[in-house]
Order: sequence, then C-alpha cells, then structure tokens
Amino acid sequence: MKATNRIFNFFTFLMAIVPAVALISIFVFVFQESLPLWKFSGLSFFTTYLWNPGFQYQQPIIVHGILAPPGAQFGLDLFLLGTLSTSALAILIAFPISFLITLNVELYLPARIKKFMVSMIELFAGIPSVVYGLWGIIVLEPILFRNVEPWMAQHLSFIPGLKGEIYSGAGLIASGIILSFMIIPIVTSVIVNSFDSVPKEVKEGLFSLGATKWEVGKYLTTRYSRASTVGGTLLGLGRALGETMAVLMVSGAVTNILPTSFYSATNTMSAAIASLLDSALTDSTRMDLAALAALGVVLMAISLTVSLIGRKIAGRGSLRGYEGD
Amino acid sequence: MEEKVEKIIEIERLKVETKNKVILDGVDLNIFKNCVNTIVGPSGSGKSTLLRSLNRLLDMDPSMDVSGDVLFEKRNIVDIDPVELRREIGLVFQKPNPFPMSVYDNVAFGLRIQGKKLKKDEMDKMIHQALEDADLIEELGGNLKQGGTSLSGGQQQRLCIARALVLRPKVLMFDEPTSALDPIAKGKIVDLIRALKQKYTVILVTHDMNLTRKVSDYTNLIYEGKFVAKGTGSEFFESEIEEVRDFLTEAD
Repeated sequence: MKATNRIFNFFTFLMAIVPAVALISIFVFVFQESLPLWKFSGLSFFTTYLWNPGFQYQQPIIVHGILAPPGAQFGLDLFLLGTLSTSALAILIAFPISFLITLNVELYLPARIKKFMVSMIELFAGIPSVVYGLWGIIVLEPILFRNVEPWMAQHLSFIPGLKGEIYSGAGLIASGIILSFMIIPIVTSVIVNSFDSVPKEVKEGLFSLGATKWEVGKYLTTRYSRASTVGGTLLGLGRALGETMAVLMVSGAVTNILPTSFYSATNTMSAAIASLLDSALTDSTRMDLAALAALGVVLMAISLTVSLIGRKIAGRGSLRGYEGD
Repeated sequence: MEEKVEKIIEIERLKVETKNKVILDGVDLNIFKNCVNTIVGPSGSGKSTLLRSLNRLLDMDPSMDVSGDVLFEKRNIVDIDPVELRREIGLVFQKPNPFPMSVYDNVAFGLRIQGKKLKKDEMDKMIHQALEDADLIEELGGNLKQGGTSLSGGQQQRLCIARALVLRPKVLMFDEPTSALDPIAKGKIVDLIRALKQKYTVILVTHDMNLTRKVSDYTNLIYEGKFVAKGTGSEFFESEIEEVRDFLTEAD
C-alpha cells in the first residue's frame, strides 16, 4: 500500500470515530459531574418536584458523606413533566400541519411554487431560537392571554386540564406552539423528501387505479414511506426535547409550583439548566452544579432513547416489513 | 374493416405542450373496441404522453397544457370525473410497479379505495378472477399472501395487470409492457394481450415491432408528435410511407 493511501485511511478512520468518541466523552463528563448529586439525593431526585439550591452563604453541612448547602433539595419532576408535555404538545400541533403542507406542496401546487415553498420552509429552520422566543413574548403571549385562553377556559372547560385560572399567557401552551413552529420545518422537510423519493411509477400507479390526491398522499406518507414519516417526527421530537432558549422565554420558567392546568407556567429540563446555571456556579460545594449535571444526564438519556426507538420503528417500517401482511 | 368496428375512443386535434415544447401536435386517432390498438414510434415521439392524456394522468402535471377533444364512449373526458375515468381506462406501466404489500392487497387496493363495502367472499372472488384473467393464479399456487414485490419481473407485471383488471375497465392501456422483461416473460404478456382483447379494448404503446406483428390489429406510427401512418396490421407493415419504411428498418 502506498504511504499516502495509508495516511488517508488513517485520517478517514480518525474522522469516522470522532462522533462516537465525542458522544461518549460528553456523556461521561456530564455523568461524572453529577455524581455528588446521586450520593446526596439518591432516588428522591426522581420522586420530588421541589428544587431548592439551599443557603449558599451558610456553613455547608454533610449529607451522606457529601458537602452541601443547608436546606438544599433537588427533584426533577416538574422539569421532566414540562419537557415531556411541551414536546408532546409541539408534536401534536406540528405533525398534522407538516402533513398538510406536504400534501399541498406535493400534489396541489405547481412545481415552480413548490420549489419556493420548500425553500421558505427550510429557511424557517434557520431562524435563531431567541427570535422565536422574542416573538413569543411580544406577539403570542398577549394573544393567548387576552383572546385564546379565556375562550378555551370558557368553552372547552369540559376537557380535563382546560379548566382553570389564566395567569399570563406564558406556559405550556405558548411553549408548545413555539416549539411546534421550530420543528415544523424539520418534520416537513423529511416528509417532503421522502415523498419526492417515491418512484414516479408508484405515484402514477396509485392515480391510475383511481385514487384521489388525498388517498395517494395518505397512503404514501402513512404506509409506503412510514419509516421516513416516523423518523422525521422523532427528529422533530428530539429537537423539541432539547430546545432551550425559546422555551425559557415563553414557559414562565417556574420552579417549585406544579402546574394545575394547561394555562399554568411550566419549565423544562433544558431551560432549567440554562436559567439556574448562573447561581449554581456560586455554590462553593458544587452540589448545585451537580444537580444541573444530573438534569443533563436524564435529558441526554431521554433524547438518546427517543432516537433509538425512532430507529427501531423506522427499521420496522421499511418496505420489507409490509410483505405478506 | 374500419366501418364494421365500433369506436370506443375518438381523439380529435389533441395538442399537448409545455412552455417550450410541443409534445403532441394536434393528433387525431380512433381507438377500436375489442381490438389491440398499437401506437409505435421512436422514443420521445409522444407515445406515453398520449396514453397519459387519455386517462387524464397529465392533469397531475401542471406544466402540461392540453387542448383538443378526447371522446370516451361519445363523452368528452373533461366532463368525466378523473377518478371514475381512470377506473374505466386502466394503465399498465413499462416498469412493473406493485405496491409493497401482499399480492392480495395489491389487487384489492383499487377496490378498497373505491369505498364500496364488499363482502369478504365477494372480494375474494373478484381478486381470484382478476388474477386468473392475468394468467397469474396458477403460478402463485394459491398463495396470495406473499409480497407483491418479491415476485419475478414478469409476474409483477401480470400482477399489475390483475390490479387494473379487477376494476373491470373497458379499456386497458399498456405503456411498453415488455421492455423491462426477459423473452419468456415477454411471451406470456403477448399471449395475455391476445386473450384480453376478447373482453377489453387494448391500447398498446411499444417500439417493439415483433410484439406489434404478433398482437396488433391497428397500428399507428407517431413521429414527432404527429401520426404519420395508420392501418390494420398487414396494411401497416406493407405501407410504402417513407417514415414507416425508415422506422421498420431501424427497429429491425
């Protein structure tokens, strides 16, 4: 083998393992940073929603052999609930919209306008999340607070969770809507691409059997390319789970108060890490930091699980899976 | 001969064009009932476009501008609901395109989207009949659960024919149905087309002159978007028209 070839092989190998090494080392680093918290809190980290950094300027106390500020208590339940509920709401809003955009773009619009629409949708993905957050605070929250939420509370109060007092417009609904805006481009572009990659013969075959546009769209997205549809949705879910800035701005960033309805303020794991980090760094025992690292560990675990499940479903949804059913 | 045979489709001054190209330049053509009507011509001459305009599949492509009249059983096709029209005029493609599902579900697909509530045994019967008419049932050995995409190329093509037949169309259009197949599979399609014209009107697009010789009742040569020769099987092959002679020489 030529020397240049050997060098080239070595570097391609190096580049190929960089992502794996990076992923593992980040996880190890964050986990290591969180170790004191696990010793301090144990399983109670998962069973309480209270989050209290304690009195950082008093003499630290020793709990389970670990130094911590007096009065400190850490539980992730409120943040976990917020993360899961805002992401779920975002997917619930984003999926049908992405689906309808895809049908419209693929089956109803002329090719010229389609190109324009698709590039517009992709541009949306490039808007910084802080801008979404700003828009959420200035435009969305007042509308929710003055118009939408009062109407919902009045007319939809028979649905559990939609009965209750309206606070400020910030909270679960605002976060879900903002998140859905952020993931619609992702979900849509994956579904549109998979639609484009369906062979022309298959599309024409469906039409020539007398299928309507709606039937063709429904069949292609939910059956023929189900793997891509599910994959795209989970990709969006992954983005929603980890999104920080915009949610931080419109969630109400609450701690220690559990939501009582969909109108309540909420908080997510990622937003909590960002907003609580500053004060955590002033804790000389580093326990506060360890607690945020523990949140990071759980967040990573959830995101990883989502993508693993996504892959599994996507694999099952491949063409081979339908043969003989 | 033409006077005795009933016309099922009449194409009058059909013009199909895009912004910068004329694909069909005002063509006239009659399609005769229970005959094999063949359209031959070099690639790019507008054969496939003609087929796709007959079942209004061209409507799906907004860049195509269609004018002129196509009468299907004396009704202008623009007055017929495209979904209904496509059930009456089935289309079988060059490349077999079974859906990734079982043989049974492939054939049932058109029936199911029709929204008609068929009883299970009624549906079974129609599907068996279609597969039998497409000369596929024996080869499958009654196993309709196997995947449609795992069949051989020739079987896939006959599955696609069965899928169209189950809707009981009046006209069946074939777009180069044998060009992707091996000689044996090709032979079976030839036999099948001959058998099908007893019940259906067949429109066959091909550039395979062997196939044309074997099955065609009426042969029409299209060249750069215009028909340059039309005739019954033997008339066509003996024609002295220059384009026909050129085409036959090239094709052989």
